Amino acid sequence: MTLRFLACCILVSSLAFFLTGCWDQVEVEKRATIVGLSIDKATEEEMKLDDVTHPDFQFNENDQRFKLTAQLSVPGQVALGPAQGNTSAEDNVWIVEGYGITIGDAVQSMQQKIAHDIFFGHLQVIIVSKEIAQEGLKPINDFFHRRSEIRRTVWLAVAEGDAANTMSVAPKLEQIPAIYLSSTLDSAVEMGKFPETHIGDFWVACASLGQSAILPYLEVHGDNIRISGMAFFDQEVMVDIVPPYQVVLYNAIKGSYPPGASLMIPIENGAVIIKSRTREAKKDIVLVDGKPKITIKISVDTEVREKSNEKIDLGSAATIQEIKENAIKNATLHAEELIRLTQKNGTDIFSFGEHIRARLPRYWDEHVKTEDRWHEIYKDLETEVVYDITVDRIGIKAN
Amino acid sequence: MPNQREPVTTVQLACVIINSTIGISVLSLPRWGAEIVGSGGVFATFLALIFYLIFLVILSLVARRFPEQNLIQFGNKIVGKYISFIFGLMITVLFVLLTSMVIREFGEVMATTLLRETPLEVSLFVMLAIVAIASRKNISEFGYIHFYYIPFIIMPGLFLISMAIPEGDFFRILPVLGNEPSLTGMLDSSMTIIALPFFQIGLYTLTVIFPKMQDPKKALKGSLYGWIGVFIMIMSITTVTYAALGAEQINEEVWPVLALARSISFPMPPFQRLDIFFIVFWIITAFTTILSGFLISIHTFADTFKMNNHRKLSYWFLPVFLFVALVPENNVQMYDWMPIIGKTSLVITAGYPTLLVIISMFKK
Repeated sequence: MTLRFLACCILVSSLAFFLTGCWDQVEVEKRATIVGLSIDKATEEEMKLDDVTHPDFQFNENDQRFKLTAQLSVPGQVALGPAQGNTSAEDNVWIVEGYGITIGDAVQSMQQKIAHDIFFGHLQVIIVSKEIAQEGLKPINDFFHRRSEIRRTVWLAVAEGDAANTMSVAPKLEQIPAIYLSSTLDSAVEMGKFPETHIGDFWVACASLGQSAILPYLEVHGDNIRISGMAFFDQEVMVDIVPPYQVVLYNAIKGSYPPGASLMIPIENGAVIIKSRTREAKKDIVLVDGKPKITIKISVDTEVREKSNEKIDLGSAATIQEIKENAIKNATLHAEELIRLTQKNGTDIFSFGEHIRARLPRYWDEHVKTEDRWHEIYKDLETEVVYDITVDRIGIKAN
Repeated sequence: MPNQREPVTTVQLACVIINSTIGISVLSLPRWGAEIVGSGGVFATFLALIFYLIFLVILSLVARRFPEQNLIQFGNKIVGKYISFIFGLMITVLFVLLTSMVIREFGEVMATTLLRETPLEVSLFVMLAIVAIASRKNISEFGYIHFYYIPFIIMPGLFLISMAIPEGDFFRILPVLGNEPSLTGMLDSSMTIIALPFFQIGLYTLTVIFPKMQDPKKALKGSLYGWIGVFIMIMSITTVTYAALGAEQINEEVWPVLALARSISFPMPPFQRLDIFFIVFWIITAFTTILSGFLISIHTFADTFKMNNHRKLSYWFLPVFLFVALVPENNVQMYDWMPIIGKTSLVITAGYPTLLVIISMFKK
């Protein structure tokens, strides 16, 4: 009995050592927490200074050269709640650069300059320069996909020009520029101005056979950052940009939630701005003479936000009818334009291909099968946009 | 301490089946279907669950015919002492292998996501130590343990599903049979799914429970309730994962369901990340599955060697499980072996009771 008691004691006390999880304890101060990361192309000179994972710099023609600029949050500097006194973005963040022929290589070169272990768990946004995006994001994806601490809700965005510069723009609303950037994109989704395209969604779109990926496209305007459209990709290689006013139509065709985008509709005596309140999209897919035809039925309820001049009589039913008709005409025209733009490049950002794979599996198995083949077929895909817009709110101003 | 004779109720039986079946392997489950039949993986999972139901009914019928006898005892009666002994030994060995794979899978999930620095041996040992201690309890306490844990498995699971539904594009689960459907592909993938360790563990806990049932006639009812629970949970998790990620992306993930949990963000600042919370939830599901697997092994062993008590075996079996679980070098190797071990053992674990049913029908 005493022997058994002793054995139990030893077992229980040894559990005390095992159950504490001390192996994995990390002090918050001893973590180099990266909140934002930008990826640019490095020059050959920059590369030569920063070799960590391999001996002497050997530049291969096919190697890519990445310059990583990380925004680290400085522990203790970021105040909880409103900022007090004179704190600027420079005090709150620390910028570290790294160079390498792969992302992992560049991260190691960055680690060489930081005392603490680099931690990606709070990464909010990754910005890649247009140059890198046009070369393809495949080498970038692997690193971020493989590490389990990186969230799939990280924003991945393409920047016009220098990505590091885009990320360093420090607006007044947030203490950390990278966090401002990610909240800009988050609110754009909430306001219905932009589709939800987190890095996880980007991967799903890249992997799907009948869908091309999209990412937000950012531009620096003085001290501000502007979402200037949507970059679209052909298998991880950036092709072109959808201008902002067409992003609205993209959202409409996808039927994405929530609605809330505004469009300016020209009518006889000027123009009105209408904002969508509810949005619904239905896709009818049929085979016509052995070829798929997609009819996109979009129904939108809208609200009038503004009229451009006093001549417009919003009190009359005829004007409302005119707004409605013109809105349908305009939206249909622009939506068709957008579809044609993507068809020119064979990039199906609307995931029509996935719908066809799902609903006409026999056609897909016989004629499509691969992603490349779908891109070819998509170029001549017959589509029709049928809009149904109602203007059901005018606002509190009477004529 | 509950009385040794206190029987297991029908509700407890259902809980045991749900807890034992839903395990850490659910994390990788969608991948097994997506690899072979693409979007048909959902249907393959459905088929697998139907097969599971068939085996469950067979086992329940066997048990009803021989109440208060365990598998080895009625095996003795039907096919004779020696064959029954050999099968008992084989089933023990197979369940040691199967359960070890689940333990290792648990260890891999922990090592890659949560406890990156902790040596694998330690997290495996701690889990096994707790399981071994718990397995020293008698069967009615085993029923209570599962009954206690059921809300911790069902509630977070349903929460995950409901949070993930808005992420899903439901055209991704179509066509139901997958592109370029073939019967062999479909059967192959559903067999791979049913051969995953947790299905067999769920199935064989019955052989341990049945002899201790309160009312053996209700055994079938209890296992049906359990099956319905398993069906709802597994089908909805699989469907949502397919809808959110699509078959192609599922193929690129080691643990697609974990990837799903990581794509969800809860709109309340301190709880934005749900993945860590779900790993904690999966520790519980892993514990209940491993506990059942452990118990099946020692119970079958004790019955085979006609020991009247399995409790002495708990600590002796612990090193065996630990050793086998540490054999694979990494998760790639583990996932290569898992279907091989699973399919081999399925032949015996499903074949033996079926054989018993058929022979017993002729004997009467």
